[in-house]
Amino acid sequence: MSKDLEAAIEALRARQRASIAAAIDAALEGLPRIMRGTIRKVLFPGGS
Amino acid sequence: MTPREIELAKLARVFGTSELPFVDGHDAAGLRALRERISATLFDDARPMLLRVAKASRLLPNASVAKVGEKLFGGLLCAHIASLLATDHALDLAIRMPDAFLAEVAAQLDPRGAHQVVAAIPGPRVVAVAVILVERGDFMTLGRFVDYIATDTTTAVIAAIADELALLEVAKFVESAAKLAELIDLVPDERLRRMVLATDRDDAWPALLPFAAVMTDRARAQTARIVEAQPPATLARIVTAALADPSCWTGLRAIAAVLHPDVQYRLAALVVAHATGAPA
Repeated sequence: MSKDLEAAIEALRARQRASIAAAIDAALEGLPRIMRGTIRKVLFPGGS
Repeated sequence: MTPREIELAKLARVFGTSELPFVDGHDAAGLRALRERISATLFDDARPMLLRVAKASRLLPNASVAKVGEKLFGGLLCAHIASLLATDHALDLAIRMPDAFLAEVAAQLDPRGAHQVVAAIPGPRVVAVAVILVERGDFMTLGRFVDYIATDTTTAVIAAIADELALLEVAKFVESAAKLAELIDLVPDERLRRMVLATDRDDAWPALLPFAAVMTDRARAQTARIVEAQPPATLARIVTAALADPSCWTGLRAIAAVLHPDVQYRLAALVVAHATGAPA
């Protein structure tokens, strides 16, 4: 695999993670803070 | 569009850019393998978190989940999660979502991972989504789904798409040759005739000719009859397209085999004239 390709795939991965995290954050917006924190912990146990 | 250009267009969608410096040296099959490997990598990367979202979605009523999916998650996330839900659950959610949103989800969905859901969506909803995709010019998405929808539904989709050249655009992106042959075979004879006429009018032979190599014998013979009825200038345009691209040449050879001998002779003369620069 070429370095260009590796870098492009890594950028895609990062973009995908960011868009999923943003969508989840948007979905949790408006919920009470404590509930939001609990749900985030369940969805991202390792933190994100 | 050559098979390689079609694969490049699909990869460009995956990467969100047509600047793909790493594709040099890959043929169409190599690009397809690369795309499939990248899709699998991305899916595996997101899978653990998406699984947790999918599990969480079971805790809420489907009507709420469908609304959250549409209003907040958006097409990309819904597409990723769809393949991780039980078919009945995903289907119930999909049915609750409006057609325009399903079109957004479809654009992001890898149909291989959710083929049971795709196959289970009621035909009229598939037709409605297909019409929206065509209106948006998203032929690639529709083409990727042809492999996974029932023949009756495909027939209804063909009937709902009034523009023959749009059908041709969709056909470009069908992945399986067998399904492509079936798709073309489902196009009624009169529409096939209009497709050939529209192709000739817009000089879109580079798009149509490659399909001749995978058509059923019936469709190929029907196409040959239509071509035979066209003026000499049409044959000249066909030859020009065929000589410019190997996949068109393969298609032309397939059609030529079932043309009337007189037309085969005219065709051969045109090819020789092109090759030698002499008038046909």
